[in-house]
Amino acid sequence: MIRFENVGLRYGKGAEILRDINIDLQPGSFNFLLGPSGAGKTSLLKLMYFSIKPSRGRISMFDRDISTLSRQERPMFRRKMGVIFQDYRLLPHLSAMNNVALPLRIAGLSESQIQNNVKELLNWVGLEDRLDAMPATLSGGQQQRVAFARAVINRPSFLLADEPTGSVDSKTAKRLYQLFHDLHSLGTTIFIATHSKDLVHEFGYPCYYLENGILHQPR
Amino acid sequence: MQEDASKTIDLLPFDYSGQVRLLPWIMAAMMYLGALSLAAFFATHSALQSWHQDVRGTVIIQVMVNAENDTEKRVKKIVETLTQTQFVTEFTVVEEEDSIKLLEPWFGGKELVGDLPIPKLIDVKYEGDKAGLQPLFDRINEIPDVLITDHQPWLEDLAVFARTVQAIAFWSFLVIMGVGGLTVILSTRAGLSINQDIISMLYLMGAEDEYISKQVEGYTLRHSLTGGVSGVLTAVMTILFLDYFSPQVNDFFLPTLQLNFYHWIVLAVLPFVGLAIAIFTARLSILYRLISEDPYR
Ligand SMILES: Nc1ncnc2c1ncn2[C@@H]1O[C@H](COP(=O)(O)OP(=O)(O)OP(=O)(O)O)[C@@H](O)[C@H]1O
Ligand SMILES: [Mg+2]
Repeated sequence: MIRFENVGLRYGKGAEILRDINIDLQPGSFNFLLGPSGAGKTSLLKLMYFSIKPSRGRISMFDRDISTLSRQERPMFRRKMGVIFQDYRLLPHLSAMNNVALPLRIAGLSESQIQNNVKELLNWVGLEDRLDAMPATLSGGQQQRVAFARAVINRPSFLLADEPTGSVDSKTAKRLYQLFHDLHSLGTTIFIATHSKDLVHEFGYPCYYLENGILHQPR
Repeated sequence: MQEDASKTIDLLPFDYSGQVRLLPWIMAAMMYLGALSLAAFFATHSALQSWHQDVRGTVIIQVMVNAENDTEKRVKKIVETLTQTQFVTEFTVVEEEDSIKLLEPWFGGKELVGDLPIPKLIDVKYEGDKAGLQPLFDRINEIPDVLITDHQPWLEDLAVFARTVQAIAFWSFLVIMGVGGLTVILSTRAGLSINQDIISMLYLMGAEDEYISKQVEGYTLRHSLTGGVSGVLTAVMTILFLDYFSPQVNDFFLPTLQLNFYHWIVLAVLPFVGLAIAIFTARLSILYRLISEDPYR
């Protein structure tokens, strides 16, 4: 699915914050990435959705070296990915529904298809009564669920999540993990970065550990 | 109901920015000035043409009153010569009444001119190049106290002046269009900076350059069109206004704002040309920006 070979990352002229990262995620796998704050989890995810470029090493996805992807090819790769950002990144001027609809609009689906899918999914994450709410009027946990819905609306084959349960109570967190679990059983490859160990251990999925720029493979 | 609402959603809320909201006004001002300079260009063009048409192919022969008082004899001689000359298509010996009228602007009314010895004027029309008339001029110049005038020397000066005005008008038009284009670039860039987060989100969700630039182009289209059309309409009103008041100041030297049908067409098309330029520049600046920010460039 995605593969890192000796990847290193530095921001500007600073020290390397990620060193010799090697990952080989199997299609359909469920993985956690643990690590203290500032360890570089978000940076690692950014490399995965090619929002930043590694300073060295090679990243390949679906067996393609992503540095060889043309600018025209990249959107198709991105449409196979869903990303839940640590800070949600909802578009502030769009309602919950329009935010979730965005990936489908970009993919050029018809409005009737969009409406049904979006409503169904917002229903699934328990936001059926907040369809037209603007992000600013939603609680942190509600925004996180909108972000979740937006990330999975186009049925990605690879779902990346950065601290997806950071702002929700443990009950909602469990519910969200149940959603990840459901997607996983549908065949989606899942990669979740978090620093809350408790939930991770509860599931028993493989867990990468990142500290001081070094990635430790799951035991 | 909801379907309609969602079709018109603005993915890039450009209106959030005061700077960008100025775009239609700037476009209107640019188009107004652009249309006026273009009209000035056309008007000087028409003026030049009509001056040339009025005086091209004419000379005036003045037979002065002299001590010998043989004006009639000399006029007769000239008329004979003219009749024999090739190229001369038409000539008229101007009646005294009309001569006075012709001289009036220079010397005042009949009561003033009346006492002056009035030269006989012969208005000659010819075809072809003036050089072909040189033998004629030479022969006429042998007759004493005769003056051949054509309008060329002073007309040339006037034409040089008019052409300068014309060049300046066209140059201003180009500069105004250039500044308009620059404004679009700057406001597009401002809009892109303000919406940077949204744009990168659209990218992460798999949007293509084309998709994002369409959002911006759509915005530019709506705002430039209203701005452009209202700017040109205001300019047309200004032109009509000037035209309405111009007969009072109009004379040979100021054939103001004689726009012909084609000129009006060009003015009508102007906002759309401006629009095309605006969209094109917006597109270029957004694509440039998007590509320059690509980490994998
Ligand atoms: N754009 C950037 N420019 C420079 N340095 C950065 C940038 N983004 C992150 N860093 C630095 O890289 C390191 C890793 O940051 P990152 O956000 O990846 O950590 P994280 O593991 O996600 O932390 P957290 O758990 O708090 O979200 C930090 O020291 C941070 O200061
Ligand atoms: Mg982080």
